[in-house]
Amino acid sequence: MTTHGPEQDVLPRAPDASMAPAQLDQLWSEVARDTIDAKRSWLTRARELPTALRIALVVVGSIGISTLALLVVGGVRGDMVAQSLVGRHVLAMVGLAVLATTIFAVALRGVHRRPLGLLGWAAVALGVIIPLGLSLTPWVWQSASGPSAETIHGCNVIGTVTGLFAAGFAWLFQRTSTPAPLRLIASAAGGGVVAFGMLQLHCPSDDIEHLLLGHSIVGIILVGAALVFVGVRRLVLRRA
Amino acid sequence: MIDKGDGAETDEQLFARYVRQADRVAFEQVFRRYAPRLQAMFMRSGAADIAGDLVQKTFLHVHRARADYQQERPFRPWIYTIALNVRREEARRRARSREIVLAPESVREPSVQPSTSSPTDRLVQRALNQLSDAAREVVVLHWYDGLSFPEIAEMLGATVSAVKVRAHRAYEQLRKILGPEAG
Repeated sequence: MTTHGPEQDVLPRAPDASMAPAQLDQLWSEVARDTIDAKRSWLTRARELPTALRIALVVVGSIGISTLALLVVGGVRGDMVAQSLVGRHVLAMVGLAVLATTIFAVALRGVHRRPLGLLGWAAVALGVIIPLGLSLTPWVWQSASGPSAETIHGCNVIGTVTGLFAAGFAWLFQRTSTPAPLRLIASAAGGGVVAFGMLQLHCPSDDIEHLLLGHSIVGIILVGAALVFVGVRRLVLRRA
Repeated sequence: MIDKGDGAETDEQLFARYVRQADRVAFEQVFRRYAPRLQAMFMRSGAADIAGDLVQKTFLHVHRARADYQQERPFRPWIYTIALNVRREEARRRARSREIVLAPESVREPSVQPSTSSPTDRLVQRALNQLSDAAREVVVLHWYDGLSFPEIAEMLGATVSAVKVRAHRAYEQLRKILGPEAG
């Protein structure tokens, strides 16, 4: 198929792109002020790191946050070794780590890359759906005598706090100055996955209700909060 | 790649120097090469009223993303990808805040300034404004900015043939719009 022809008939070549020297100088002084001449804080430096490194730092930071949370709430569940569940849990944790890394990569994707569009939203959806699915397969988290309904609220709070810290940590490395919806919601979904993994390591429950309402719901809470924030922000912008 | 053949550094060399050494002069040279082209691109894309702001935002992102630039890759598609993303984000932001959307029907006047453009330019700009965003994007990048189809395909995440088809249809549409008036 040729694409040469019609344009030659109908489109004049554009005049050389040019700007008045004064306008170019003015624009350069503004750009220089905001970029190369601007004072760089540690946060700015973190955001200017290569994208792969930013993602790696967020993943490592999330592992650190999870470890810290585990230390605060009493460590890894005690029955894991006794029941020879280590291998199964390691496999599940590796899967969750891959999922969290993918979602954080969506959140931190460089603006020099083409937009992901639906693929980005699909990754976010998986970040919510997979923990929900894992909550419906309690045999993965097999337990002899785990807590059930009465500890749901505790797990929920611990998970939400952990997820918030992980999502917030990811946001520290965000280059965009305005919270683009996908980036914000992906950070929240990533935090939810991190929180789910931490709770699965800590809490020996294999009760579906507990897993759903105590563990996997954290992702829904965080993503829901991000959606509400985006919605409210849009309303405010419209009224402004 | 902009290489004037007079011993001047290529865009890639200049930008790599900026990345490695934070060389202000190198960044300024890149800016002076690309700011007018990007401004013209934004104006033709129906964002005449904020073209300067978009250029500024583009270079802010270029600066922030500089550590991601790989010198072996061509610079021009890299910076244009950033510029297109900046424009799309701005279009979404304006749409959300119910400002004038960067849509064809909402662009009141030709994006080329009447004082510096011919009646034909203004006619063509009005025709461009009638195309869909996606079609206009390809025409502006290909015809006015001189990017190749493979470059555009890489920037848009489409196949080369898909971009060619899109361009072909856009040019056909332009021909139809401009036919009676241009003839």
